[in-house]
This record gives sequence, structure tokens and C-alpha cells, in this order.
Amino acid sequence: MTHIEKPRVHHPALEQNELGLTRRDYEGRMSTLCAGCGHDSVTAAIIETFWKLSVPPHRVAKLSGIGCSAKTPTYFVKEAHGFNAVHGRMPSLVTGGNAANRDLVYIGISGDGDSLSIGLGQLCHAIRRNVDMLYVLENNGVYGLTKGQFSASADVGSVAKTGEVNRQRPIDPVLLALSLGASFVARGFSGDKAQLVPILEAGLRHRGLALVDVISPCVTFNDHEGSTKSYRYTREHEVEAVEADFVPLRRELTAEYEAGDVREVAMHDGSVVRFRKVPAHYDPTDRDAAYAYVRGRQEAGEVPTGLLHLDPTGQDMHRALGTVETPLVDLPFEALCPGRDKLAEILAAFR
Amino acid sequence: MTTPTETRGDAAPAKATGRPRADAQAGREADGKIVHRLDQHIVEIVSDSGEGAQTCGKIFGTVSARMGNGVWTVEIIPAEIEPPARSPAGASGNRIRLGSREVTNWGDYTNLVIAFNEQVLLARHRAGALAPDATILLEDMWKRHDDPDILDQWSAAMEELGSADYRIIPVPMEKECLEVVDDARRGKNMFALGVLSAIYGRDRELLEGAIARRFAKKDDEITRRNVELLDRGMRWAEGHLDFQIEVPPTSDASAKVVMNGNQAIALGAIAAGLELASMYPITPASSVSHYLAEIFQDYGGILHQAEDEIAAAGVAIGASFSGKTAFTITSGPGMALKTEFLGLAIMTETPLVVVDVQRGGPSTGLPTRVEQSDLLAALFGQPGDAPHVVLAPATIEECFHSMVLARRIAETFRTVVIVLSDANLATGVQPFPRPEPRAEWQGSPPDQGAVPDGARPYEWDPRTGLSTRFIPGQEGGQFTATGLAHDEESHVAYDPQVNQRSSRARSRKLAVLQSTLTPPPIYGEGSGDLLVVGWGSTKGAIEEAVERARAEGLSVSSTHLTFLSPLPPGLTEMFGRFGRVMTVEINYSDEPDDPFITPENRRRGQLAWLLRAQTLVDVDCWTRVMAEPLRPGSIHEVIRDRLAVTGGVA
Repeated sequence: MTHIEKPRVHHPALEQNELGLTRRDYEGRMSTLCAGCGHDSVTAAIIETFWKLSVPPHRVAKLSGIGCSAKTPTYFVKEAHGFNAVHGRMPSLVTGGNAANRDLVYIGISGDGDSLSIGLGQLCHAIRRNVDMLYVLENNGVYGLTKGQFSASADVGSVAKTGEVNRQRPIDPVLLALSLGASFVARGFSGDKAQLVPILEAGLRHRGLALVDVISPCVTFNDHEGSTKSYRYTREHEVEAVEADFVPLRRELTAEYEAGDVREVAMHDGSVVRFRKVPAHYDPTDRDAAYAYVRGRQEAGEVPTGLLHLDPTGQDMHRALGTVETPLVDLPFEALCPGRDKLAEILAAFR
Repeated sequence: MTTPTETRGDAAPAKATGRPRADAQAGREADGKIVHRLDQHIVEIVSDSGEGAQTCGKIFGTVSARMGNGVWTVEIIPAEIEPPARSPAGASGNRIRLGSREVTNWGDYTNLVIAFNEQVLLARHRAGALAPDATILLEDMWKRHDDPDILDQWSAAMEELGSADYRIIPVPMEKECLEVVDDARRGKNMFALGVLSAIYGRDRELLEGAIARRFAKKDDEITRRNVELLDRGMRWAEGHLDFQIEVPPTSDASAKVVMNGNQAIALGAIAAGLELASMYPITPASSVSHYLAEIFQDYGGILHQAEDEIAAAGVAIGASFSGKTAFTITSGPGMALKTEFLGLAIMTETPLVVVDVQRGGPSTGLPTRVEQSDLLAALFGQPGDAPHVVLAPATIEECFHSMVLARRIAETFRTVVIVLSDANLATGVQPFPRPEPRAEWQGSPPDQGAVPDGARPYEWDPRTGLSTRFIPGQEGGQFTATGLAHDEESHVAYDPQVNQRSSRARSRKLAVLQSTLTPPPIYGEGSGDLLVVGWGSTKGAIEEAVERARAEGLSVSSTHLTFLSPLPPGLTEMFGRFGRVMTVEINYSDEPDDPFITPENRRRGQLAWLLRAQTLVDVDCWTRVMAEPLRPGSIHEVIRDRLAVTGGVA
């Protein structure tokens, strides 16, 4: 894995965010993924998201496991802190990182092999704990780095490049997350940046685990006729079930909506998610309704996308534990719990 | 005073007194009783699981320690979680060795037992736990029981026990307890505590205080009734037994704490400023987290019960990555699962403390029993070259202090430190000097100021391999840690030169740590015929054995290793001063004269293996995996055997 540094050319006319940074400042190194890889489009959406929300790069921790997906953190927010870990174990590292320093912005990038096979347990438990993080699952139904084996998200009947047909039922991360009680569940498509960016924005601002499953086709091993994770198949079967905008705190409204069409859901920091188009009888804040809808559409052969479920009332790990607001990492030893004097007191009880 | 009826399995004449060990001073009379004044005595209380013998033993041990005795207690753990009543498999309790000096190990054989039924007593007899002349106080309700099966079991047991020269004294525990409580199963342990306390002259006020503390969360009435049972037991013993045992206190009156090794690890972790612990439940390590949970509940801290052993390691590494050095606690099977993550922490030079409370293995092995079989796995268990630190506390006091040491080393050397405790230390209770916590033990929060321009995350010092850790959130300190081979900037690098250079840096750190260590002290003379080398929880037993052998004039010494990686300096030179060197360990080794075993294929004790490789000295070994700690008497025999001394151990 070699690195190609991008030339840092700043055009004075480049748009700046609240921190005076341009989109360029949120880029990473040049991608070494295959040309046309869906992951690079996800990267572009992540760059846009972090720029738009004016996240200070040095306050970002980006973590990943192993696989093509794990390479992508290298390609965005170069000035962030990163941890490229072991296969399927990114969630536990974020859990520990977040426990020690809750003030950082955590983004975990994973793939279908990383999250739905070797790391399935870790994904489930990160959801269960509602660790405050943006969890992006780049889903292409195939193991790319090891040259094209089916992954656990491959659909029944999907054909591999070698001609092999998958007979195992897939594990669907959206249905899984909904059944586990995830507080933020979305599905995007790497080919639709306009839809993905507001989802990522809302996910980053959501307090708790925001799971964003992104169909991200593998151009080398899974973009052929017969694959159900190809660009063509996804374009033909995608149904944007829920259209939503993200309105950050302090941002002026820029779009006009007709009254009655829009439903607003406030997030913990005052930002707003504005649901513009939602199917009849579908309440995105109702987990059961979301599950029934997604399951029904998938049975009908569709790939429903959008911000499918949002529960802004859920408690993240720190709230549930009742930990102090000050990150553990910032506590001076004088204030360390239980502290020296308390320890002496505890020891006295062992006389 | 009434003379107790003696129940004996054989026809040998009854003896009139409780039997002292050979090292006792002559008995003297007090209130018509023979008082045996002894340097040490081993007492145990054993019952069905759930009858409270553990509680009784713990209170007895704690009170004895507070009265100034040297103490070492060992839990007698049933083989099954919910064993049937009155079954040898259900034997549960506590074994307390009292001494008039510091007691460093569990000793040899039990001298006095109080047993709630004959089946649990049989279990102890069959385990070879009892001295052949032990005094046994036995609940006598079973020999008059209505159930003919129980009567048959009683007779069969008496016959089996009759093969030894025990003195069995019947105790009407059930009958006495029913005077106070409706359900004697809920009261016998306190009655037994009273009997033992009268025999050993334990302070009633301290006993009452300990009982009140034990039941502090319950109704006052519970405490009152338990104290009543205690008094009843004391009165019964005063009225019916013809002997007392006096083990004088030590002369050391300094402030002490009394706890087991897992409690010491938990408190040591807190003293070290490790308020973030992650674990997955596993025997015999879990109780560390129970103690931590109790303290964290009142004082703060995060105890993370992960979804599995792997995630437990991940959470600790994630926290350390974020700047708060954390630790994870496990036992052998969990170590196996954490292997991949240990490699990641070593490769990314993320500080991490891992406590392995060893149990019998491989695989699930003996979950509640002691072994020292994880040494080589702890040292070499990670694929790839993964240098890291391994240290082993030898005493309960060292369990406490090793956590402070481990955190400092982990942070200073940016590496993984494995602390090898074991089931013997985990459950053994011993008094030790009360630690005086120091602020520097906890360490300051990491410096999060901006990183100077040009500083790199792995700026390996060419001499020492050391570099300064950057923390996420630190301006200018951004880098991506990776398990892939990487250069000074943490850029993935497959360049052969970089790989050689980075491997050297990680390895060099151990040599640098070793340069700060001193050779381990020698117990005994600095040269001689035999040097016994140990590590971990066997220290007390080895030194006691060496002391006994030296008292016989044998030229034997011992040394004990705290650091296993890196090994301390000076071992080759030290070994050269002795005619023979051998390790004593609780792991498996082939006997040299067994079939097929040759010097070339003999699998030796794990420390012996390591020492031979590192010193080129022909280090011998004696090891046992008998699911229990080593007895000083057994080691003493081995020393005599190796020095070709004929005749039995005195």
C-alpha cells in the first residue's frame, strides 16, 4: 500500500467553511483503490460532510479494520488521527477510544466482510452500547482484497465473477441494526452523493451510533451481469424511500418546502433532520414500522435507501454509564477517581 | 467438663488431647485444658457448597491476621457449580495456615478440620490434604440419621477414614444451631467459627466486628443471630473440648491490609491510575472486576464488560490509543483469544496492561485450579516477532505493586505488559504492609499540547528504540496507527530497510528495560551445590523448603524471577556459582527416566526451557500439575533428592 501525496494547491476562490478551511483541507492521500470503486465516492461524500460541518480535523479519530474499506480513511481528512486496526475489530477500538476521550469525533469505516462476518459480534455490541460514532459500512457483497469471494451480504442468486452462484441468505445490516435497536439507521448508494451527504451529516451529529450502510459496488469483482451489488443493478432497483435533509444548528434554511409535506425531528444539539418524502404510513422514528417497510420492499426486490430510522432520544454509552463530562484522558491525577486519599480510605477497610 | 465421645473408624485407643505437630512446644494446662503452643498450624473448614464455610474461613483468617498472626488462606472450591448435598464433589470451604511468623505459602498438610458432613471430609481425605494425625471436628447428626442410605454412607466413610490416624471428635452442630435458628444450614458456619475461635483463642470483639461487616447490607437481626451462633460455638468448645491451640502473633506490629491477590490487583490498578478496565467474565480472573466494580461504583471509573475476550482487548487498546492507558484481565483461554490484538498493540506501540490469572490448561483445562503453564504462551504467543514485557508477582503484596509497575513500563516503553498472576494468588489471602499510595503512581494525564513541527509518531531513538507517543486530539500529532509495517511517520512501508529498522527499535526497548534491572536477590548463600529458580506464586513455598533444607546443612539457595521478559541481568554468572541449577514450577515437564524420554526430547518446565535458551546453562527442573499449589514439604524432598540425601524428610 503505497501513498501518493496530493499536491496542495489552494485556489483563492475555493469556498471556505467556518474554520476557514476548504474542501481540499479535508481530503486525504490519493486513492490506490481501483478506478471507479464505489468507496472513492463514499470518501468524497465524507469529505463534503466534514467540510460542511466545519469539524476541526485534529479532533477527528478515524478508525477502520481490514479490507478495501479499511483503506479509505487514508483518503479523507488527512489531518485526522487514525487507527488502521485488525479485521473486524474497529468497533471495540472506537468503544475504548470513546470511553477514554468522549470529546473526539469518531468515524469508523468498515465493509461487509469486516462487519458482517469476522466482526459481526463487535458491530452488534457497538450498536447495543450505542457508542457515539458514525459507522459507515461500505457494502459490496464481495471480498475485494482477497480477490472476489462472496461476503455475508451477497444476495441469494447473485453470481460471482467466476460464475459461482451464491446460495446463502444474506445478513442485511439495516435489518440487523433495526432489530438490535440502533438509534440511527440509513442506507445510501455510493452513486448518489446528493442523498448520502445529508445522511452522513445527520449521522455525525447524532449522539449515539449512526449506522450508514452504503451500497458501494466493487468494479473489479462484483460489477458484472448477474451481480446484485453492481452499479447497474443498484440503479435499477434502488428506491429512495425516505428523502431527508440535515439542517445544522445556526444554519439558515435555504430550501422551500410546502407545509404538510415535511416532518422535522430535532437532534440533541438543536440540529434538525427534515424528512421531505416518506412513504404513506411510514414513521421513520418508529423502529417497527421501519423494519416492516424495509423488509417488505426488499422482498419485492427493491433496495430501499435513505435515512430509514432515527431515534434522537436514545442514550449513548456515556449517558447510560453516567460518566463525567470531562474526558477521562483530561482528568489530572489530583482528580483521578477514586484518587489517592480515597484509595487510602479503601485500603483502610482491608485492615 | 465433659469428655467428648470419640468416634474412630478403627479400634486404636482414643487419645486424650488434640494433636500438636512435631514442632510444638510442650503442652501446658489452662483451665483443665491442654494448651499447645505452636509456630504454625493449618486449619480448614469444609462444608457442602452453600453452607457458608467460605464465609466462616474468611472471617477466621481476617481476624487471625488482625490479631497479628501470619496468615495464608486458600479457598477449597467445589468441583461443580451446584453439586448435590453431601457429596465429595461439593466440598467447599477455606483452609487457613496460621503462623507466628509471616506466612508465605499454604504450607503442607491440614492439622485441624471442622467438617459439616463426612462426605466433604472424605473429599479432603482422598485429596491427600490432611495430615495423617489431623484432628477432625465432625458434625455428628448423620450417624443418627433416619435415612438408612445416609447411615450406610456414614459407616463406609468411617471405615475409609479409619485407614489414617485421625482423631475424630463429634460435634452436635445441627442440634446446637437449632436452638438459635430454624434452618441449621444457615447457621452452622457461624457456630463452627465459634468453635474454631475458642480453640485458637480468637478475639471476640474482632469477630463480632467482622460479622457485622460481612452482613452490613442486611438486617441487624441477621448480625445479631450470627453473633449468637458464634457465642454458642465458643461456649460449646469451651465446655466440650480438652485442648486449645495457641499460635503466638508475629512481632511485626506495622499497619497491614488483608486481601487476596485479585483484590490486590484491583486496588493496585486503581493506585496505578488505571480507571478503565475491560474484561470478559472468566475464572479465576473475574473477581478482579467484581472488586473494581464495587470501588468504581462509589468512586468512579469505567469497568467495561465486553462482548468477548477479543473486544475486551480492543476496548483497552482503543482507550490507550485515545490517551488513557487501560488494562484488561483474563485467564489462559482468554489470552488465546487476545493474541491478535496483543500483536496490534505491540506493532502500533500502544501501551497496554494485560493481567493473566493463570489456571490449568490447555483449552478449558482446570478453571478454578492453579497452574503456571501460560509462561511460554505469554512470552511467545503472538505470531511475528512481538517483543513485549512479561512480569510475574510472587506474593499478594506484589500483585498490588505490579500494577503500578506495569502501567509505568507500558507507557514509558510504549508496549504491552503482561502480568502473570495465578489461581493460587487470586484466591489466597495474606496480610501485607499497608501501601501508602503516592500521587506519582497514578501518572499525569498525557501531554496534549501541540506537537512541535516535524515531530514524527515513531521517532525511534536509534540507540534505545524509544519514541514519544502522540494522542488523538493533539494538534500536529495526527497520524494513522497501523498494524502494517510502517516507518517513523506511521506510513505503511514495505521497504526492507524500514522493516529491519522498526523491528530493531521494538526489540531494543526490552534490552533498554533490562539495563535498568538488577540481578534478582539470592535466598541463602551466593554459591553452593544447588540453586532453585522459581517465578510467580511458588516463591513462599520454595523459600520455606530451602530454609528447611539449609537447616539440615544442605548447600542450597533459591532465586525468584519477577521479570520473565526481559530476564534480569546476571543470571548466567549467578548460575555459574552453583553446582546445579533447577527450576520448580507448576507446569508439566517430562520425567527424565520416563519411557521414550531422552535429554534431547524431554519437555522441560517452561522457565527451565527459557533459562536454558538464554543462559546455555544445563538447567534442570521439577514440576507438578496436581491442580494445587506446591507444598514446601514436596520441594524439600526434591532438594534432598537432587542433592542425593538419603532418608525421609524429618
